Amino acid sequence: MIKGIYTAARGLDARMKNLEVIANNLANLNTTGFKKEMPFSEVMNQYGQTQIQQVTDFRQGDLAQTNNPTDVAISGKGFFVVQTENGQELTRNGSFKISDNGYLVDQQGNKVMGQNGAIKIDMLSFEKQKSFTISNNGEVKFGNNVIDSLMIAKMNDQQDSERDSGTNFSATGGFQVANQNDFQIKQGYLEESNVNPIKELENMIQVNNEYQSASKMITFLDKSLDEANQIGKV
Amino acid sequence: MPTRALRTAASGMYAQELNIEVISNNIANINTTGFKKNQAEFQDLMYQQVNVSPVNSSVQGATQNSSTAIQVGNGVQPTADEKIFTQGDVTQTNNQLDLAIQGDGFFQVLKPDGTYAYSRDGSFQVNADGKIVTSSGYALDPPITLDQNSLSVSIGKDGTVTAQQVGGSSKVIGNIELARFMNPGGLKSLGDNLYAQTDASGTPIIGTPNKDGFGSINQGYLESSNVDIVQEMIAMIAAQRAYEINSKTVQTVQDMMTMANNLKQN
Repeated sequence: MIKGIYTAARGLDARMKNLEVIANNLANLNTTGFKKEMPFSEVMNQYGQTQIQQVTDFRQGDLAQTNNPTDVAISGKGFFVVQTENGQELTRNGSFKISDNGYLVDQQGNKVMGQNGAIKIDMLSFEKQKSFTISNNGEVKFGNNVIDSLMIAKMNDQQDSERDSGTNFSATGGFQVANQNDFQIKQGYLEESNVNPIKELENMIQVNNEYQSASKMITFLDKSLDEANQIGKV
Repeated sequence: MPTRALRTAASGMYAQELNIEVISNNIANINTTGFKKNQAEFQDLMYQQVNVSPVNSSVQGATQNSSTAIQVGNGVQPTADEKIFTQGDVTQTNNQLDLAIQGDGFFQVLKPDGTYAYSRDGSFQVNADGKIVTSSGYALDPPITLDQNSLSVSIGKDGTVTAQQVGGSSKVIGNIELARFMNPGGLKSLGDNLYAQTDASGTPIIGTPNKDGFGSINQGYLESSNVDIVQEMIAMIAAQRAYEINSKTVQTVQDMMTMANNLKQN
């Protein structure tokens, strides 16, 4: 019976951690390129052991028009690759800018990778050419001059990845160049967060109810133990 | 730790508060000539590894599995307050020194401290020295000066300023040049409808209007703000609801903590 109390207590702990996951999703309701985290669940593996499973929902977020030439969104599968101090990381956040030394960088100043290394914009070509365009297949162009193509990567295993701030993912399972047919690049658009507030509220209510059940269980067990303690009392 | 969920929700509420501030500034400037709307940008905070023990592991006698750690985020932070430089509507004023840029580019003005500022607000005036200045009194650069013989000016799409002289002749008294930026979203707002260059915007590229990707100059017109009231109202509703939903998280955490406090009843 005492074991039962511990089981229920771990249930409380798990629900509180799930609430933290939901809280983070809701806080990032308006974060560009954010991918929601599903509340974790326990699954039985093939050896009959329980395992914690945490799944990131990589579904497409809505595309919002900004008309800023250095804002890009991916429609379909794939990630932008940025060079951070922790190595190359993948992101769906295409809110880029040009750094003072001419590199295409993300909001933290990490260089955006092209297929031939970091994408550098030659200011001279900017002065001569009319427009800076990024085509549907990721070619970065000035007028008709192709500078490079954006490197669009796909993870070997999407769930084998770790989150980092800046809506970045580090692909612990490795990544490779994505298939050209799997994505389209949209210049002047940003991908919105894919958090659905209604779904999150639903999860929150569920977590709250489960927490209540587990706490009821504890008070019930506590009462039973108390009654057991009364046995033999004179 | 339940306080993490509270802090996460608080960061969400703070972010939405900032969002509302940005939106209200846009709405306040709906009639400001040459105003460009702002948009708040957010980014998730760092993630932490948190260990979760499977509930019935002790019952099963199963060994602790390495995949019991989950990643929990710490909320959201604002990263940028980005200007959106879409074209505003162009309205006719028939004033000869009202200029609207149709397309890319900014007027370059010289501030009294010797630095340059950039503006889309083309409501110019002539000051006591005959110089063409902005409504705040900053001179266009390169400077254009009207002399006392000038009756009226006509400004071409390419920025050529021609003055009609007393006696019927006309002469070119200067050329308006425009500045363009690689990333106009990175410009810093100075107020007074002026912007300053930053590392993020890149250095200005000066050129002739109506050429090489620069916009054309339209005399007798002004560019209205590019704020779309419907879009702002919708953004405001969304921000308010997002704020509300984050406050629901706070409420839920509180509920759960009350339940935890009630576990021990006697």
